[in-house]
Amino acid sequence: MKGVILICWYMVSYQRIIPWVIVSGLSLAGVGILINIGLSDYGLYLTRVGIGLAVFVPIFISPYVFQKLWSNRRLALLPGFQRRTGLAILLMNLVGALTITMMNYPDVNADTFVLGFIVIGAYQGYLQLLSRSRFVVALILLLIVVLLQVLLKGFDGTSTANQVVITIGFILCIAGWLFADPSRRFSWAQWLSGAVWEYTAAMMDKNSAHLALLLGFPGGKASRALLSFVVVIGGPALSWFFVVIVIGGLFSFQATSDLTGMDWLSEPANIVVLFLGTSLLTSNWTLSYGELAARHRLLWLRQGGDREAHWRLLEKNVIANLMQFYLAATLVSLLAWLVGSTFASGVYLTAFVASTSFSAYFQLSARINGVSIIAGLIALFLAVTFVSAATFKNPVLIAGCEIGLFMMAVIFRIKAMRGFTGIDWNQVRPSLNHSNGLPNSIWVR
Amino acid sequence: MSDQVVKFDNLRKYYDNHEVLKGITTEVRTGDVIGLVGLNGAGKTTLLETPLGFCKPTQGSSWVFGIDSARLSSKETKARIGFVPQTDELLAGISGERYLGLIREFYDHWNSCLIQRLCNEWDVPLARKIHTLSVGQRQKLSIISALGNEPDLLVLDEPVASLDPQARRAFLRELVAIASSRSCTILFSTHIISDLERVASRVWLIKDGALAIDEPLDSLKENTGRVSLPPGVELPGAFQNDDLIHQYQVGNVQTLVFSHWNAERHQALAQAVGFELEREWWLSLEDIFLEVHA
Repeated sequence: MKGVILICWYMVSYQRIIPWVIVSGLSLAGVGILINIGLSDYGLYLTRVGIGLAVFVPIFISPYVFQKLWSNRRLALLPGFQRRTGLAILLMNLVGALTITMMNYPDVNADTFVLGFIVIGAYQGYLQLLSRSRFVVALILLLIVVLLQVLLKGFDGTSTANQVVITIGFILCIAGWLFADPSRRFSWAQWLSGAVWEYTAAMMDKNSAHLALLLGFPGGKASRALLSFVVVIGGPALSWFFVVIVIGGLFSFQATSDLTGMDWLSEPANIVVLFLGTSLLTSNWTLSYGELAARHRLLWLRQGGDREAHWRLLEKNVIANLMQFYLAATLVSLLAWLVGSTFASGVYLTAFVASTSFSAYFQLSARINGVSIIAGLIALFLAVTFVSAATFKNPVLIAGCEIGLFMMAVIFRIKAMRGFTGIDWNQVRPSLNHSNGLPNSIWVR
Repeated sequence: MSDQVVKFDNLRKYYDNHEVLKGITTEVRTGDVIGLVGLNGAGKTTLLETPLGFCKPTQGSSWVFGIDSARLSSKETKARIGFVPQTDELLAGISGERYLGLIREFYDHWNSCLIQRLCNEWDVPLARKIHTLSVGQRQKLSIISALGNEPDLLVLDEPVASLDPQARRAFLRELVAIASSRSCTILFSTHIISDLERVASRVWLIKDGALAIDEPLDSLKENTGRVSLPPGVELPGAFQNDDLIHQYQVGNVQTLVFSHWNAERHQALAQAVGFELEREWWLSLEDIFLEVHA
């Protein structure tokens, strides 16, 4: 039991992101409560998002932490580590399910509790399975069948789809625990679901040496274009697919249970918003722009030019990357517009430009000037919130927030540029070496 | 001076009001093999990385090949430098062969034969992805990648920390060969004093941000003396100066460790205290290190 507690504790405290997420979530909830006086709908929405952030995110990221746990030698030395970790995750899921149930449905009953457990378990299973591509391939095939079934029969809760979806949730959950293999560093599935620079390295051909050192992988226009597509469209599409399956299951279940709160998912336009939100999220946090600054140390001794010249090179690459992202985002918003989600696609595009610009320069500035980059997550979640807020159709509020984000991007750009020329390279080192499977200081310096 | 490779002139470095380097003034000449030792956090890495232009001096200056290292810009000058960081900064997702190929593109001159030989001798599996290599193998690759351009100045920050004894010995052998064959200047830090004794021609011992010792290895060992005073005998004032590295008492016997010690000074002390004194000759470098940090 001590081992399980240790693993649980380590899981919670492992990523120092968790306290920050909780604090930012509670802050968001606080803001929501405050503005609830004037803008009741939006204030309520913010409050929900904030509480969700503070309570659910630590649970939802636990699969990621689970993968990292395997790399920790101290824990790996525990007898029966794998079994204990499975038990620890199971416990966390039960606690999470109970929390969700209590929060959403004060009249707690066995059905809602089981439902919460399935949702969390399925999502965890999905994330864990990503490290095993053969399972994902099999799973995708299976889910396509299920999705077709669900789409054909609708989310009416009277079809057999809900039972199938719930069964899938269980299968995912169990399979994830059984077959997750975090020792695998690369898989197409992982790459598709959340592309990071390192994974692309496995498949890209060499382009320029300096770009390779700067990015951490042999980069080039083609590889960037592919990466942009994957981050903005491919990865979110896959995640969205799974989320729809899971939430679809929730929706169909609650239809039979006479529960409320998720009916917004019945509108196709809101499904599009969900996809756009996912796209915005992945485009922000999969790229570690701060690494560009850190990796300049590798270039410095091998390439001519003073620090100002190196900053220009750095920014040229940041802008090139952002432009390709914007192009992909434009494509996404066009697609959203074509399926009739006019307002959401416009908000998505502006939010994308503002939040990715902010994310890039904030992370650069944070890394160079020694500020914790985790604060960028707050802005990220705000940006996602604004996108989702499209359903409230308050363009003035949304535009104002996005302009604010963009102005912050400009400020952080100036701060990053100034810091870069006076930086001590030994204070800013690459953190994504993966020498021990861990991004050592990607969240907190 | 034309053979001056690195020069520090009253170099001071602060991090958040904490003074890491306290006015270091010294120089490195062509062919020197400098071994840098010091406790953790003593400022070794900062001192090594300053001439590379990674760190900017807060006060004073640092020069490399006659150029202010804070203004290092020329590709030709940078190409004369090889650097092995304390923690490797390789690209995890590509193979070792691919990585070396990338690094090679930066240089006009690249000794492929040397690289191939070292990879074979040091047993570095180049075909494998870097993230699949052990820490030691990665460190070897990191070292090899710094040698390909045959730099005139090689800076190594604890290069052997993750190597096994056999690999360490092979690395040191190579280092000696490099230093002697083409007058390469080497600046390296280590915690393994015996390695330093094998390779270094000169020792820098950094203590609290200052160079407590900056001497050729031979003269350091020759000129460091440990003397025990008989019970009840006080050290004369003339000997209580900067050369007194350490003074301690075990029971009623007082032991003194001096730098710049020689037969004349030993005799002078004996005369001053009126006793025949025993001098412990040839302190090991490890003994000296411990005495300085005692």
